[in-house]
Amino acid sequence: MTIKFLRRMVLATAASALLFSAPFAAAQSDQEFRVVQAFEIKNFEPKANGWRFRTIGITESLVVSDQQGNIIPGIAESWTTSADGKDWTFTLRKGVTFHNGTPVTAEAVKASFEKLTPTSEFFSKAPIEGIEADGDKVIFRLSEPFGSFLSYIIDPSVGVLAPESFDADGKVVNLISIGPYKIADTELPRSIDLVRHQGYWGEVGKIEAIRLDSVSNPETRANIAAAGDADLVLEIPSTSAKKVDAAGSMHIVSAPLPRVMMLMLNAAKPQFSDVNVRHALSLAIDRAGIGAVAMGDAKLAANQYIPPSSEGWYFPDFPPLRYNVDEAKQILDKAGWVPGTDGIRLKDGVRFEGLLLTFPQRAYLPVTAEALQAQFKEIGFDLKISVGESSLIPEGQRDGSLELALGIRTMVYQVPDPISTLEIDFASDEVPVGATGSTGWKSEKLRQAVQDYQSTTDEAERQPLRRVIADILHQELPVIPITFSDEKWAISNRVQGFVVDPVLQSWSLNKLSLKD
Amino acid sequence: MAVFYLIFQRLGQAALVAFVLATLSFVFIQILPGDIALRITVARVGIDQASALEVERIREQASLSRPMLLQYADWMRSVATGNLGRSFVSDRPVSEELVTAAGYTFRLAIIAWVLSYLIALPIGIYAGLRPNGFLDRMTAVLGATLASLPSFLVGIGLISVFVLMLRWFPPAGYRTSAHLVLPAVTLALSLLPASVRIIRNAVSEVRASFYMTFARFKGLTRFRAFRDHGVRNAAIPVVTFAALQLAFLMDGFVVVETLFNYPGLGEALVKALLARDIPVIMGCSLVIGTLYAIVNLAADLVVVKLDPRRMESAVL
Amino acid sequence: MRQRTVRAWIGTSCFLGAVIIGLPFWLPLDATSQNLQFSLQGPSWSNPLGTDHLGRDVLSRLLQGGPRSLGIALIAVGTATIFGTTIGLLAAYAGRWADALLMRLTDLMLAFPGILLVLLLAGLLGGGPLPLIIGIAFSHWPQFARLSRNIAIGIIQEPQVEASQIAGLSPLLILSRQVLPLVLQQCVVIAALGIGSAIMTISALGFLGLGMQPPTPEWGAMITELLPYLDVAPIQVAAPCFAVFLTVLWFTLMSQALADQAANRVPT
Repeated sequence: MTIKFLRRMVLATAASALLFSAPFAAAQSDQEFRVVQAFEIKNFEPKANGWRFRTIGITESLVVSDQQGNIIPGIAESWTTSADGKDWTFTLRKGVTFHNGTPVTAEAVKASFEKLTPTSEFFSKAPIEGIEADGDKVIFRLSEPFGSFLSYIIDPSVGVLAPESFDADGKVVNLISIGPYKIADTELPRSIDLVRHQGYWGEVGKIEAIRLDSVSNPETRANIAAAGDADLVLEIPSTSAKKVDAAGSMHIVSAPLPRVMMLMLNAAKPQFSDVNVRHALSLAIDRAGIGAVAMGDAKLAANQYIPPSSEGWYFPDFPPLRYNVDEAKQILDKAGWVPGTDGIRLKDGVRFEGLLLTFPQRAYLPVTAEALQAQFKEIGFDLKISVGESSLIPEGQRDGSLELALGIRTMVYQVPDPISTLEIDFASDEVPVGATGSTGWKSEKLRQAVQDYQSTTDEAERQPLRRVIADILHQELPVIPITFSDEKWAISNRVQGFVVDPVLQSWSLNKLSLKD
Repeated sequence: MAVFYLIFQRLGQAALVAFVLATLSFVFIQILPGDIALRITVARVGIDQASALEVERIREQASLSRPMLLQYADWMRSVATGNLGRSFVSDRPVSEELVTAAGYTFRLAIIAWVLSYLIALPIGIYAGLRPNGFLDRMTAVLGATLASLPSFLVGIGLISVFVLMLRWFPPAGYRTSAHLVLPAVTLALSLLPASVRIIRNAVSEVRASFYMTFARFKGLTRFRAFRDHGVRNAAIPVVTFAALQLAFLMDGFVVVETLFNYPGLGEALVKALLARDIPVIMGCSLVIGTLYAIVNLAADLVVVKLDPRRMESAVL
Repeated sequence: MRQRTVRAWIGTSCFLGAVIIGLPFWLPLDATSQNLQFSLQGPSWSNPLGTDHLGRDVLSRLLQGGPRSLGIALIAVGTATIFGTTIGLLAAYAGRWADALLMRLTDLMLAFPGILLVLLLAGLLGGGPLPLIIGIAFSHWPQFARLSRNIAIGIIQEPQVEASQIAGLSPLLILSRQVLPLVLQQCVVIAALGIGSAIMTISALGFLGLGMQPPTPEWGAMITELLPYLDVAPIQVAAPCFAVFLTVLWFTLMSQALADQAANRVPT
């Protein structure tokens, strides 16, 4: 009896094992075009994932941006502003269709904007009173002039969606849009199957079908690239770039990003309220060393807050941020911070120390925090580290308990003009929720400059204002920049046509093709 | 009947485990420092995208401002009806996400388990039939070595050799059977040392035992003696242990799934822990804990079926 | 001869343990000094195992991380042993009702998958040594409870113990002279295995990023930190791997030796 029982069990197990492996028998086709990216797309919510849908090429707004950040026509082939700057009129191209084949009408565009604007990130900041559809024109009526309107309309959370994309409650259930690739199938959050949109107004994609996979672990992506298991792999960590190149089936393409890694401090705390002390801390940072070790490139050391790729906002003539430990010590001595018996400085009973908060999602952040710990110790500052949830940082900003934080700020890629992030970070009473911006610091001059900038579209007026804003940030150091960032992609040797877009990071999948 | 009592007791245990896990998760979330709503917002819309308005919206939506006892009652009630809430990160129903993940984990677990026994049985039986022989001693050494290697080290080693050097297998994914091989092998290797030892001990005991000698007296060949009389008795400890090993796999698959980017329950749990996605954390713990208890129940039932003498100790 | 083996194991372990834990006090180990210019250097006289990505001496970090992981494992398993054995002995002595209750409780805990508890605690409390200690202790104590209770019950029914009771010896004396030694002997076997498994758990959590915070050196975390540099700095990656492996192997072998020896001593 026992033998029969055992025999049955063995057979049952073997059968179930075979059964479960059956779905895997379908092998991956060699012709399949595979793209691997880092960000898992959890749902169709435009606010959370809009920027991803745009970079993939599923959604688009009325206008698009070129690689320099200039606004060029999209489905809107031209636009005009009224004399008082309060009305913006966009004329739509003829013959453009949505992914499902229905024509793109002004009515549909108006409906899409109306549904998406209230929950959008940036576009909701524009003072829009109403939207109208008139023939082939869409008109936005503002309550007051808003100079950055063209930039803000690129906000990916207001990518144009066909009416069928929304359900009865106005929630997005489908992404039927106007971009060069449309969704054929999804297995969220891991993969999306894309198919090219023949009715795209611009360059129709040469590759018929693309499989997009999400792999969040950077090392795994590097391994996939090294194994040649994909055609395009995004966001390769700098430390693995050599490995991928050496492996031979894919090569690395790299471009600078408008992103800065910065040390945030609470200027209201006694340790950091003196601007000279902030400069001393800045002088103690070995940016080249951190760049080399954490980012893989010593040249990424930051010399000012806004990265060079943000044209018009970067000023090569600004005195660069330097590394000079002796000078830092002198400044601190003069400011009255005296080293105690354990080497840590003291002044008026306050210890020169602080707790730094940071988060682990980017590998270089904890590494940089550790490096800072050692570098600050040299000038008598006791830095403690806590790696945890990024949301603890804005919480600390809000209740004033934050001492230091290590974070990153990307200047663009939602909208092309850095003014959007600068305003949120430095000119607003509201605490930015993304672990960015100044704490306990206010500059009326900066706020005025930002306001002036927003109320005009005249480039002659705007450029000097840019300089004023950048200069204040450089002199006062409400946050201390450490390094910039670059982005690395791995391209298969059988692919050609890849175009790097550092401003909006659109992958331009429609420009890719296979070499024969 | 005693069997029913056993089933009842074990199911009760499983339910109790689920209850305790659910309560524990709830308690821990409440004592976390910081603002949950803020954390959820950042997890859901990303660092660059969150805003204060969004935070308030999510706070309302997740009813995070109601008194704790009511939240607890709400939670327990929804769990009992199988509704594990919606993920804070993806906004999809937790049960939906976990069912897919559980399917993948189950597949991997069965394949790893079968694989480990395909390897362990021949080695163990042979070593048991020739105890203290060369193979026996070698497997003992190898077994101790393998048992001292954490599964992530084994996995890393396999990736370095088979993926990066030899290019035989892809590094991550779940689509083709090729993707399953390395994770299954890693898990199987983690089970091997113990099962080989158990099989070997069981076989060597049986080999020297009374009833085997008796069978030989009857004139049966060594092989037939073993097949007809030995296997049954050797099988009991082996099968008992085999059933338990499915449960041991739980420890291993968290690390292995994360390492190979395999979309099972283990990976889902680790991701949820790092993102503080509370509903998914609670859901995963519940599913894993309950499954573990059920597998233990199945193991006990198998033991009792094979050797009714064991009933007493199992029930107590 | 067996007794000598056990004494040899325990003696050597204690000696090695003292040496390892004492090392930071004697040697000028510097596990935290960085030197960004000398990142990922190969082995040299000043850095026998090379430097890590921040220019820190890998050997020092290894030798400082060891006592920490070992300490946590020892505290956790020690706690589990004391707590579990106490519960088990209580169950054996306290009569049927308490026995059944305590054993139900123990069974319940056994139905918890070990690593799950540690993961939950670590993930929700933010890492560090405390969740590890609590989680590991919690997942290990049931084995000790079960084992000590079963042994104790067996021994109590022994003729020599009955004789002692009749002779009027206090229960406490019986406990310490006749019951405890045998219980502890078996428990040491499980404890040794438990320490090995605890070290694996600690390094696994370090690997997953749910372990201890920087700049604390810990073997599992060191492996994760240095893994991206495997092709340029293989020695630095291999060192913590071997450290974990050898330590766990030590305890695995020790527990096997202890098990062999204990098997010969259990009264039938």
